[in-house]
Amino acid sequence: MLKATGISKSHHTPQGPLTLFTELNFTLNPAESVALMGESGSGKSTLLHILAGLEPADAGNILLHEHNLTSLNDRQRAHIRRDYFGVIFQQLNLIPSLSVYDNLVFQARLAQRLEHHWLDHLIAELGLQQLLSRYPSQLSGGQQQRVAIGRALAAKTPYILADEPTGSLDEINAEQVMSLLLALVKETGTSLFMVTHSQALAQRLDRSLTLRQGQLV
Amino acid sequence: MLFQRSSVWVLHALLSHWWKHPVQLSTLMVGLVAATALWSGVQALNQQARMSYDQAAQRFNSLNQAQLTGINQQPIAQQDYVQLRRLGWPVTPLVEGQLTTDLSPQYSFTLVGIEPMTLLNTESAQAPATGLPTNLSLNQFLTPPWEVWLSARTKEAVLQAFEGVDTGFPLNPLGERPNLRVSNALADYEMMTDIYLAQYWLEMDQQHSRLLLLQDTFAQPLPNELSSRLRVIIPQSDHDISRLTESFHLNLTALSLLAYLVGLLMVYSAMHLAMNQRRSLYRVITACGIDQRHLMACVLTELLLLSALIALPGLLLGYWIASWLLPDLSTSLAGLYGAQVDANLSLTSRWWFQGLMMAWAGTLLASLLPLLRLLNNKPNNRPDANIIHFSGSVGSRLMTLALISATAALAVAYTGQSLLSGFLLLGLIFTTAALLLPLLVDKVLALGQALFSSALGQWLWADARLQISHLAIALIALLLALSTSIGVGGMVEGFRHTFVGWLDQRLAAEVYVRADSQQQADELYAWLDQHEQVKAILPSARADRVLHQTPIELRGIQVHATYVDHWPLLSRMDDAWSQIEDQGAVMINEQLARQLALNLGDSIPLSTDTSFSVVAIYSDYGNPKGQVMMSIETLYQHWPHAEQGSFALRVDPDQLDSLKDQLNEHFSLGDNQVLDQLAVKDFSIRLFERTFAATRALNLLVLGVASIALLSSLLTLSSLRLTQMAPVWASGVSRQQLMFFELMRLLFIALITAMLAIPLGLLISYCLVTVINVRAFGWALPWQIFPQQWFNLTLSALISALLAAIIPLLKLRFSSPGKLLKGFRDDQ
Repeated sequence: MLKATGISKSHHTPQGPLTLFTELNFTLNPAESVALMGESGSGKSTLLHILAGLEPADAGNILLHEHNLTSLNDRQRAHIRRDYFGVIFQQLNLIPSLSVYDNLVFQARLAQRLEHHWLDHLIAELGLQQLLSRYPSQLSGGQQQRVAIGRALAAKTPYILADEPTGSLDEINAEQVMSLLLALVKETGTSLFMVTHSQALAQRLDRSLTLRQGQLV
Repeated sequence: MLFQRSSVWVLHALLSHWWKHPVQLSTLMVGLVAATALWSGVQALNQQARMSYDQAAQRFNSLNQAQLTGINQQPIAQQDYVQLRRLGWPVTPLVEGQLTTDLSPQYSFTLVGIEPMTLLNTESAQAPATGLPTNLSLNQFLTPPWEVWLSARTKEAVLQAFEGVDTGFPLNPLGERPNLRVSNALADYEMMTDIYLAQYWLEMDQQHSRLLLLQDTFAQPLPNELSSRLRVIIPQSDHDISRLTESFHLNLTALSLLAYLVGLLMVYSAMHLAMNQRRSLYRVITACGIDQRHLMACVLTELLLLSALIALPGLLLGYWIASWLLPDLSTSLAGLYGAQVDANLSLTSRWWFQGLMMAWAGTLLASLLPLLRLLNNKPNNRPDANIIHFSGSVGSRLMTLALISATAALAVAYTGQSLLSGFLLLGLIFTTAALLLPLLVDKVLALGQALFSSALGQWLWADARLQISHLAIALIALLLALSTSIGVGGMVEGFRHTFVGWLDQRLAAEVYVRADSQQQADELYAWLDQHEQVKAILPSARADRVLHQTPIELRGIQVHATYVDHWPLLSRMDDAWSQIEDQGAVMINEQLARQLALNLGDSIPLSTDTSFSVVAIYSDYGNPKGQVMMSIETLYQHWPHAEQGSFALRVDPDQLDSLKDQLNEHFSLGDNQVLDQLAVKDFSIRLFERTFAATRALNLLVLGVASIALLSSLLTLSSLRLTQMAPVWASGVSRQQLMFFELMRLLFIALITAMLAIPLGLLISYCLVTVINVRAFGWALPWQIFPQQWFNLTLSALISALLAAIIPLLKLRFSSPGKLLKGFRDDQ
C-alpha cells in the first residue's frame, strides 16, 4: 500500500512562492487503479513525481510498505523506485539511443528482475515483435508509449505511476494504448496511479480524484 | 559502493548516445585527439631534449663542467697534465674522439677514454657521473685486455665490427679483443674505456682532449708556461644547457597549450550538446531507479572510458608529430645553443601517463559545467536551452567577465616581469577576446537587423543572431587560431626580415678564416698580406669572463670601416667607434644590456682593476650569452692570453673562389676553417627556418583543428537548422534561396570573426615581440605588420567556412519535404 499523509508543496516563482497543495492525504491500495484529474498547473504531475520519489515534498510523509520515502535519501529513494515503481511520462519516455528491446528491458535489468517468458508475453501483448530492433525515433507516438508501458511492466513493479500517458496521442492510438495498459495492469495485479485530463479515461479506473485549489476532492 | 552491477546497463544507455550521434562523437574525438596529440607531441619533443641534456650533463660535455682545454682546440700534452697534477690541480684527463669502421654497414662510435684513478676516486661532489658501476674492478679496467663499457645495442654493433679485423680498433695494442661490458647508463654508440686504450685507437699517444677540473671552486691562475697553451673554461652553473633552452621549450609548450585549448573547445562543444540532448535520458534513468550520485558516477566513468580510448590514438598521433618535428628541433637546438638532441625519439612511460592524464583533465574540464548542473539535480529543462540571447543578461555577464579579464591583463602587463607572466598576459588577452567575440558578432548582426525592414531581411539577421549561440564555441576556436596565426606569423615574418638584414650587417666581410694555432695564424696573416685581392685582413680574438656570476664572452676586433659602416647597432654614442679604437671603450650586446640593466655611458667592470665605458649596444640574435666587444688591442692589453679568433677578410667577390682554393692549397685548411659569407648566411637562414618549423607546423595544425570545429558545429546544427528553416520554407521561400542565405550568413559570420582576429592578432604579435621575446631570449624585435598575411588568413577563414557549410547545405538541398515537415511537427 502506498500512503501519502500531509503532503505539501509550493514552487518559488519570480512573483513569490506558489502553493500547489497543502496537507494532502492519499492512499493507493494494492491492485487498485486511481485517476488524478485537475486543471493544468494544479500540481498533478508534481504530486506524481513526489509519490515516485523524483521530487521532494515540502512536508508530509509517503509510506510504502515499511518505508517512509520522505525520510530516505536520494539513493534510497532511487532503489525504492527501481523495485516498486514503473513511471510513464507523457512523452520522451524512451532512451533515444537504445533499441526498443533495450528500452524494454532497461529497468528490469537494473532491478535484476528480467524474466524472459514474461517479457515475451508483454512484447506479444503490446504488439512490439516487429519493432524490437528499431530506435525510438523510428516509432510513432503510439508505438513509443507502448514501449514505455512495456518497460514499466517488464520490471514487474507493484506500482505504475503514469503522467498523462496518452496526452500526446490521437484518439484511436490513445484508446489502444490505454486498453493495453489497463488490461496488463489488471492481469498482473499492479496498482495504477494515473494523471489524466480525460473524464472518460478516469471513469475506466477504480477510483477518480481531482486536485483542486490544493486539495484532493 | 557507487559502481554496481546495474551500472553496466546505465553505462550501456549512456554510451549508446554516442553511437546514435556520430557527428557529436566525431567532434569529441577530433577535439580530444587534436588536444592530446598536439600537447603530448610537444611534450615528447621537450622530454627527448631534456633526456639528451641530462645525458650530456652526465657525459662530461655539459657547459656546466669546469675544464681545461688547449688553446685553439689543440690536444693537451701528457707532460702539461702531469705538471698540473704536481702543482696540486684536481684535474683528470679525457681522451675523446670518433671511431668509424670501414665496414658495411658503417658504424661511428663516440669513444671516451678516462683515467679512473683520478676520476672515480675523487671525493669531490663536483665529480661528474661516468655511467660506470660503482663497484668497477680497476684491475680489469686498467690492465690487458682492458674493458670497454657500452650499451647493449652498441655491443652488437662492435661485435659485428670485429669481423675480419686484425689490427687497430676494435683490437687492443696486443692484438686481443677487449672485454665488452654493458652499462645501460651509456648512450647508444658511446663507448668508455681506459685512457691508454683510447689513445691507442684514436692515435693520440701522450695526448689528452681536455682535462676536467674536479673542483670548480679551485681558483688558481695557470702557471705562466702553461697559460699560453691551456685555457680554463669556467663552469656556467646558472647557464647550463637545459636552462639556456628553457625559453625555447617554453615557447613550444605555450603554443601546444593553445592547441590543447582549441581542441578542448571542440570537446566542450560536443559535451555541452550531448549533456543537453541527454536530459530526457537522465530523467528516464532516474525514473527507473538510479540515484543522482550513481548516475553522476556512471557519467564520470563514461567520460573517463571514452577519453582514455580516444587519448590512445591522440598519443600515437602526438608521437608521430614529435618524430616529424624532431629533426628540425634537433638542428635548431644544436645551431642555437650547441645542444645535442638525439634525433631518435624514445619516450618514457611517464609521457604516456601524462598524456592520458591531460586527456582526462581536458575532458573533465570541458564537461565541468554540465556535470555540475547534473550534480545539483538542475537539468536545464527549457526547450530553448541551447539558445542564448547575447543581448540579455548573458551578454551583461560576459561583458563583466571580459572587463575583469581585460583589467587583469592590464595589471599583468604593468607589473609582470617574468616570462610566465608574459604568457599569462597572452592567456588573459585570449580570454578577453573569447568572451567578447559572441557579443561583438551579435552587435554587428543586430546592426544589420536594424538596417533591414523587410520580413525576409529581418528573419535573415535575426536567424543569424540565433545561430551565434550554437556557433560561439567554434567561432572562438576560429578566432584563437586566426589571431595566433596572425600573431605568430607576424612575429616570425618580422623576425625573418630583421634577421636577414642583421646578417647582412653582421657578416659584412666576404670570408672568415680560422687558424688552428698561433703559428698558423702568423703564417696565414703573412700570406694574406701579400695578396692584392685581399683588401683588408681583420683579426679577432676572444676570452671568457664571469661578470656578476654570469659568464660572458669578450671579443676583440680590429676597428675598420667594415664594422663601422655595418655593425648592427641599436644605440650608440656619437663618437662610439673612435672611443672604442682610442680610449678602450666597449660595446655590448642587447642581451647583456638587458640582463645587467646597462645603458650607454655606464661602466662595466670586466676585471678587478679596470672598468670599461659602454658606448654602444648592438643586436645579437640567437646568441644566448652576453658579449662585450672592444678593439683587439684593448683585449690583448688586458687579457694577453686571449684566444686567437678568425680573420675577417675583405675580398673582391669575383676573386673569392680563387682565394679559397689557394688558401686550401697552401694551408690544407679544414671545411670549418674557411667560411664564406654566403655559406654562413645560408646556414643561418636555414637554421632560422628550421627553428620556426615546429612553430609553423603547430600553427597550421591549430588552424586545421579550428576549421574542423566549425565543420562539426555546423553538422551538429544541421538537423536543428532544418526545423528552424521549415517555417520559412513553408511560407514560400525556396530551398535554393534558403541555401544561398545560409551560405552567405555563415560566410558573413566567418568574415566578422576574421576581421576581429586581425586586431587581436596584431596585439598578440606586439606582445610576442616586445614581451615574450625579450623575456625568453633577451632581445627585442621591431614590431612589423604584414597585411598580405591578414588577407591570406581572412581568405582561409572564408574557405574554411565554405567547406564547413557544404555538407549541411547538401543536407538541406536533398532533404525531402517530409523531413522538413517532420521537423516542423517536432518543433510543435
